[in-house]
Amino acid sequence: MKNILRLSATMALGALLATAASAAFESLKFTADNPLPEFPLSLKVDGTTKGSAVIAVSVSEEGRAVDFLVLGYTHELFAKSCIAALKEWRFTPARLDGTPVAVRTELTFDFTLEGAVISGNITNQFLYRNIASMNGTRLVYHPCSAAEIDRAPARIAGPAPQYAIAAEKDGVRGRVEVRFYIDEQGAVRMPVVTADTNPYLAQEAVTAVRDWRFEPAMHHGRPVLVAASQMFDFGSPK
Amino acid sequence: MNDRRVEISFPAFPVTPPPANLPPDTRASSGSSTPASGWQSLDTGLRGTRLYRVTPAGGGGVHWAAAVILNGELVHRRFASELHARAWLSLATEQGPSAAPFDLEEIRGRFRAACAAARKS
Repeated sequence: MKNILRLSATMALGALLATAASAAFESLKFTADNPLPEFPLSLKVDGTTKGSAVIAVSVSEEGRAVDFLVLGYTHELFAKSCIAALKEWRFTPARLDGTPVAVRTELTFDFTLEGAVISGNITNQFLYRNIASMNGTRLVYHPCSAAEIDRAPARIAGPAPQYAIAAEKDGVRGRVEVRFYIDEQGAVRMPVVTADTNPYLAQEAVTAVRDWRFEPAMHHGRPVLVAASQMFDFGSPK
Repeated sequence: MNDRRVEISFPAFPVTPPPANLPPDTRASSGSSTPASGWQSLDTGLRGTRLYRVTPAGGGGVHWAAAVILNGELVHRRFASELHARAWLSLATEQGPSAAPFDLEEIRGRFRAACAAARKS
């Protein structure tokens, strides 16, 4: 039995279109011969016929999946199957003004016994849609929303971003929002810049956030995965 | 989509350079004397413009970041070649503020990816 991966048109929607118009952004693309995740055999034996998993994937400038974060699943084995497949995937990297750039995307895998359907979501679409079930099956793992947690995560360590004197003198200042996940161990996962005003500031902000450590968010007495954002104001107010 | 809060937003974090009376080469906890290691400032010969050769700290390809301040706003773009960057700066300064694009680039930003379907054959 051979699975055939069929690609449809790449979509770059919403706010990104405005960005692309001026900055010539080309979205990440899948390569057609990527292996598909296998339906877990033990679940087949148990009589499971469908399920889902959502995985955040960080793709390098070279088009390799370099980091993964499980965001949700109906059974853990579905997520494991997805990651095993993703490690072999190759992408055509996203480009900005012709230069390959690293990006994060969130992929949804809907499994049936006949195969898998894979779709990409914008960051945090998974959370915003308030999904409690997928593919007709209840999610047993997913990030907690800010409204659900009993205790907010608290930063306990990590540097401030570097900011050069020369940069401020050159007029390089402004706001940078970094969005990321905080996992159950309090580590920052997959920080991304969503609305940067300058590439230098974006680089410094993301570099700092990567090293931050948190007391994890708590829900019903247990540490949980949450999505977070941090705004940085570079430079003295005008 | 509902209105409930989903993301945890931390209070804004002010970032300022180190005090100006430090020696030029001092690298303090919140700043350095040059924009960053890997950011090489290049001469453009054009008033009000900046051009950097950028070598990403985490690896990846070299690119050029060009910036020009127009009407008090910083407008910038990144390019795969120095020639294109210089041409853009030249064009931006010649055409004036109305023709210069305002860049909201997303280096690692959100986007929607392709859809793929798997079928048995």
